[in-house]
Amino acid sequence: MLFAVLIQVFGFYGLYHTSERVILATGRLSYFLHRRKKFVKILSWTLMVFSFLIYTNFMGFGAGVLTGFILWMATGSVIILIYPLIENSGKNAGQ
Amino acid sequence: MMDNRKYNIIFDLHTVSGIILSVLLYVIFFAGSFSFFRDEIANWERNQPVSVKKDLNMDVNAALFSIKDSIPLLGRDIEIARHYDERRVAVSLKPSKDSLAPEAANKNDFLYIDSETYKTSSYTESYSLGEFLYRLHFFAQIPYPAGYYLSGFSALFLIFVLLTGILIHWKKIFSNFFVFRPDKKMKTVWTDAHTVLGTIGMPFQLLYAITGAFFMIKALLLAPVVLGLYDGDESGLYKELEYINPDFLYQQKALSEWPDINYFISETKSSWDGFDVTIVRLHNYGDEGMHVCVEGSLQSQIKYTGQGKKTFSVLTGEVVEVMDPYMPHSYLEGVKNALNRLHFGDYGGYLLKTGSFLLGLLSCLVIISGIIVWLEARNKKNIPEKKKKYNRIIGHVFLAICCSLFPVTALSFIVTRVLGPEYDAQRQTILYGVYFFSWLLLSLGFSFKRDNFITNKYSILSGGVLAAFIPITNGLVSGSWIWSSWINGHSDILAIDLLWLFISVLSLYACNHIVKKRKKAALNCSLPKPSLSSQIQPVE
Repeated sequence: MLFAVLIQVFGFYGLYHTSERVILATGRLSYFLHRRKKFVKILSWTLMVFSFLIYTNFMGFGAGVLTGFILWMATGSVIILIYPLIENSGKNAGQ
Repeated sequence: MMDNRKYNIIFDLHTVSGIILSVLLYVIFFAGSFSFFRDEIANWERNQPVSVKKDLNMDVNAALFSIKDSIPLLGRDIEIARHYDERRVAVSLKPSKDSLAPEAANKNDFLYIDSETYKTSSYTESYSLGEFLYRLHFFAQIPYPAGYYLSGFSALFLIFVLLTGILIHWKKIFSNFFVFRPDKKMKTVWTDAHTVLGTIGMPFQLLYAITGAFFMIKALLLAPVVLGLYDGDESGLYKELEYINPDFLYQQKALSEWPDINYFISETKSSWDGFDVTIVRLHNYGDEGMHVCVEGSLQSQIKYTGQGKKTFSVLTGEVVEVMDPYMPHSYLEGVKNALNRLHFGDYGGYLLKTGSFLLGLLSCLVIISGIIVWLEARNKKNIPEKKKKYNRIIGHVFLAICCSLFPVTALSFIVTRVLGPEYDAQRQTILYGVYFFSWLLLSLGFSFKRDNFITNKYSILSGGVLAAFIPITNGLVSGSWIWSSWINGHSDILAIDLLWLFISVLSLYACNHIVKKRKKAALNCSLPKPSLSSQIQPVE
């Protein structure tokens, strides 16, 4: 189940990088994800669907889908909040 | 396409209803977040880990035998229910139907029985911080029905707040979906936080708003129906909604021997795979007209709302009513069970609880950022100074009330853990005193200080420090240190210790972050004049 959460985090992280308006890190991974948007979008959505399949497999259809949505919202909110903060503190540390 | 007039109406509706409800909703979401761990908190403070979840794992015969000397049972309707994952099981008794019953049997009774020791305790003696926080999230501490209606209407109006919020943000919903810019000016940071968390968390908040309103004010909303269709008879409606249990004829003839209730429970359990018994109802106890109703549900991985029950006639042993959990249910049953499961979030284990807890706290952040955005929007040159001052006071007071909840809750965890079982009878009074008095004191202190930075910094700092002491206090008082709970598999105790440890680390990090940011802002001499926005700093 934790594996499903991890997949979901990666999926959301990928989708996050396909956005035009977010401030991205200067690292190689961010650069790679941002440059290959179409591929990353497909991969991210595949990961998302895969995580939902894991949830439904372990928890049943109703409970799995609902748990998947709740965790999707929670992990997504945390990524959006934390990523730019870490990115900023990284930049400030380098100054 | 929405014209300006409509946009302004919706915008005003969102801001005004939002600011009025903000504190109420904050308390509901904050206490509600902890309520996901209600049972774990209760087990943690009693140091009574529970291994079996969602099943009445108890010898009911022995439990009834243990209370029969102190409480007359003959002719009474008795309900034995395990609503929570605790060792204590709730027992409710209705007045006896037997005409020769002693005086003590002619009243309603309620008690808890420990499923391992069969020790009985009253509701007051079983009161816990978990119960306190759970009840706080629907303002049950305010005398009934005011508290229930207040929370219910807050939930109802939250639906409007959410829908108007989405309509306002509609145009930018996709383009700004991921946008949070903490390096921009504070007004942008708070607006981003409000919109982005509000948008992503909207389904969660809407879900809880709808289900919460249903639980709290359904009776009030259905009042016209009761008056019109049931001639003011509320029980008629509840009977039709299947909230009232059936009544069985009392025969006035005692059974020759005490019935074996455990047999009926195991008989029901063996009927369906993955079926957990949660409630046992004994109608006309000890009489020839006695019936045993065994109720429960399928495990959520088998079926999301698989309620089932079997009713037996004790005299003949016949099954008089069956509700097969594997068969499709009526629309009414489905809706009631789905709403329950959705609101209580009891179908996904710790993973779901943690996710819901996080989303609940993030909803608090949406509320706080909403207050600050509201305050910022009214800090313009064209607004008279008197109005500005008034708005600032509102902001200070609202933030003080909201932010002080965090250290107060952490303090209450320490207090309740330090209190031993010898204080069980006074625990409710002590908890009320500690929680509400310290909340009032802190709220007043922060309100009079009139500095949002101080409010945020010290509430996060004090909350973070107190939070760190919660697992330490638990270890010192009970010997249940984090590692020993891990080794012994006491997941409920471990969950609370880890939860507070996580909150502590996060709070201290956030506090450090805002202090650094404040220092940086102070050093930045290029700022012309400190505005209100520079005084407002991030909160938890």
